Amino acid sequence: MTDTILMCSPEHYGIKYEINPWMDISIQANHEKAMQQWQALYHILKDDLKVDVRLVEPREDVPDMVFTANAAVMYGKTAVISRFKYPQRQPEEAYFAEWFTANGYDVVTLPDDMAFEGAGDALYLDGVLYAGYVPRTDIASHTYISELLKIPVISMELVNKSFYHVDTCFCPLTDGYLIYHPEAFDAYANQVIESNVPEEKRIVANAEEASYFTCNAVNIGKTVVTNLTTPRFMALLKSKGFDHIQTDLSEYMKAGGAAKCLTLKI
Amino acid sequence: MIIELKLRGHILDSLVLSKLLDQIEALDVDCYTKEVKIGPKRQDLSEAVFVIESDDEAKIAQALELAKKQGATEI
Repeated sequence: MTDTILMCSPEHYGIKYEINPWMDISIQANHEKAMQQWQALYHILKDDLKVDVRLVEPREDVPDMVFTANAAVMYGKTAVISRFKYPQRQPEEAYFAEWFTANGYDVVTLPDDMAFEGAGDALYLDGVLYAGYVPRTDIASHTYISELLKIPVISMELVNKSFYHVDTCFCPLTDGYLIYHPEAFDAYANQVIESNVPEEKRIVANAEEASYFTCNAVNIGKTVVTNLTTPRFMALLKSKGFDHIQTDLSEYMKAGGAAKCLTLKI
Repeated sequence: MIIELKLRGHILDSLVLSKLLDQIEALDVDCYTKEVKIGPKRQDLSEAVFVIESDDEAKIAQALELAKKQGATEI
């Protein structure tokens, strides 16, 4: 079955504000380079991995709309639209809702005061939604979504400001494998991960690899696409039976994003 | 001062209830679980009601702050 991914062209991408530790408005993204890097990822997914890539129209007032992972969390044909914590990103909610509605999805919204940042903070592993909380998402949203979709939602507290969304430090892969960076989570979340994912299926990104957003990966079948990473990590993935494609996403790292942040499986 | 709190969600399999009770006990206030309802199916939510007791208002405030972060509500 073909994977379908939503992306947004980076016409209006730039570091226009600072809402995470990676952003510094004095260190701007190079627009031309950012466009080339996005195109390279787009073609890897569309041409090499045969993904059905859909595009949402970029909007001028929301430079981070390129990070479509934060649009919503998906459940079949239902899109649970994000409630962004910071006002700078809140206009994206209506734009993404408009796209999902126009493309035949059921759109669900959360209560106004309940922060939740979509698939940036909620990822499926074996039918369970593993969700991050504190920096961008309220734990109350996990309970709300669990009741709404009638699925188990495991809450994991994020404790390192550099890894402000769960998808920056946790990436479920095919066949129950998991890439993650343990230092991004509190001791309780680590215990939960260790209890639920067998040791041989846990692929640990070390501090250096995590700092390259290696965990912010796109997984298509047995292929993993990441930002540039270490030979150690590439060998580790290979030893677990995965092919690896690395592509330079340095311009997006300036905003605290990489491969996974630029995509949303729909 | 006695306050009663409710925590609801996948609080057992996420270890959120254990964490919150550990954190509150570390404040050196009395804390005990009054009631726990376990969701019968994997997707079902669980619910715990617990009580915090202390004469120290600052510690109660700290406990409430911790509880709020973990999604608990005062009842």
